[in-house]
Amino acid sequence: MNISVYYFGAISLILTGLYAVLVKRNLLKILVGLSIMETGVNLLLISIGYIAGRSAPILSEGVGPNKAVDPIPQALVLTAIVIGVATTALALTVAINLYETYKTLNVEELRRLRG
Amino acid sequence: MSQYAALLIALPLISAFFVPVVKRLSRRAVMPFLVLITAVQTGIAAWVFNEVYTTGKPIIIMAGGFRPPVGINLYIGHFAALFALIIALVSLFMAAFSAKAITVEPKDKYAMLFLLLMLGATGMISTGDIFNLFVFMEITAISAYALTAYNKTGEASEAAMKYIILGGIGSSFFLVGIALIYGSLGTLNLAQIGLLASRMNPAVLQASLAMLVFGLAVEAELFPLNAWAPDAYQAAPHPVTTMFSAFVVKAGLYAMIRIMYLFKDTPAFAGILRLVLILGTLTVVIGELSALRQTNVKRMFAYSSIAQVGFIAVGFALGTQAGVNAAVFHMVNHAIVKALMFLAAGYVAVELGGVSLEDFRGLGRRMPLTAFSITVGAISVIGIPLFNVF
Repeated sequence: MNISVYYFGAISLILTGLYAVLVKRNLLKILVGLSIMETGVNLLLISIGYIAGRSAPILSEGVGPNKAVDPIPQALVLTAIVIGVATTALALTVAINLYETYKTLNVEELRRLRG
Repeated sequence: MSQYAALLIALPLISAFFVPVVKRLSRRAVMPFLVLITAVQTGIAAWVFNEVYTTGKPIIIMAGGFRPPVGINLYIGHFAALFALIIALVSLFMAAFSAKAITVEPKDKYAMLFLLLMLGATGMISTGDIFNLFVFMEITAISAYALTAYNKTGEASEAAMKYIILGGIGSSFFLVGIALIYGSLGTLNLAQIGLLASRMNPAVLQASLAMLVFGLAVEAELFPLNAWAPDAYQAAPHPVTTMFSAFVVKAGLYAMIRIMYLFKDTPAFAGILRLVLILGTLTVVIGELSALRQTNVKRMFAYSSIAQVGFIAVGFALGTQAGVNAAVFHMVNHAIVKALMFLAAGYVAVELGGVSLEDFRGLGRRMPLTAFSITVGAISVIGIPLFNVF
């Protein structure tokens, strides 16, 4: 399969996420949008390191250095996923705090309540 | 010997994880522990500073003994050494101030996040690897989000939420920029990227630079992306506000400028300079105009600090040696002055219970020393000759 399929998929994920962040009113949907964006970026990174016909860069029987894909982007993505999880967890706790204070998650109402 | 400079990163990291242990031993020991660690950090930073300036050579640390470009390295040049010292010093003062200003529990979490914030900013200015830069940026950002929400009021949560959303978008774009650079050059080491920069396809280079600048502009509070800053400054605990203004923002700006100047010899450089110049100018104008309207002193200082950052960005974006020197000088001065201003305002807030302009009435009589320091800060911010911001 052509590599550009992955690029296309990744970029459309990023744009979908960005759309959700910018347009949606519900805080949870915005956060889901952020997660989708992060996923898209991760996919982009992975597909940059992809070499057609090679397997995962884990040293095992029959898989030498010249039969694996580029391992660096995978290491990067691993880090990025962990960071993304931390950000999402933190954002959700803040959202819970907000809901307990204002009893709403609608962004526009939040702005109005705060005055 | 110079490998000991890695302690700049290692010390706050390991002590952040020891905070719960200290809390186990004694609940009251947390704040003194924080002060102690920041004091040691200041000592190390002073030693590194001395080392770099007497030998005149930057300290380069290779993590795990791998030589770059394979391994990750830390690069502590003249500027990074100076700035690490400023970060440590400001943190030391703020740690001492926190002991008085922070009344909300859980203090151990506060101490932990405080150390991580300091670590992230130090890492951002000293790392020599673009992905490592991203990691440190996220460490700074996540601890900054959490510290913004620390007071647990609705206002603080909302400010933190704004910051998280903008920061999240910014970091995603930064990562896309890294992906583009890695995809076309196959390296993540900053120095090597600089060497190979001319081999990149100009269109790709321009796109990736724009992404990187966009990502860091959120941290560096340049104009269209600084909506989080006034809210966060207002809602965060007083010592944290000071840290934001004194070094978190500067670290973001410095990282941005360092990445930009790597591509000095490529055709994309002029375009990106112009972009930053425009953003910086807009930041100055909008920041100063908004500062005039504020009645909350912390918010007013926040806008002033945004405008000053804009000035620094303009200085860097002029692209001449004089511009860069001026910007670095202004960066150092601004860190000192704004630390003074926010510290004084925070102290007033702790003593008198509020930060609106009305609370400051009659300050000269009630707290003469604090009033004096605010006056000194304000005079130097407006740039009267003989004061350092002039």
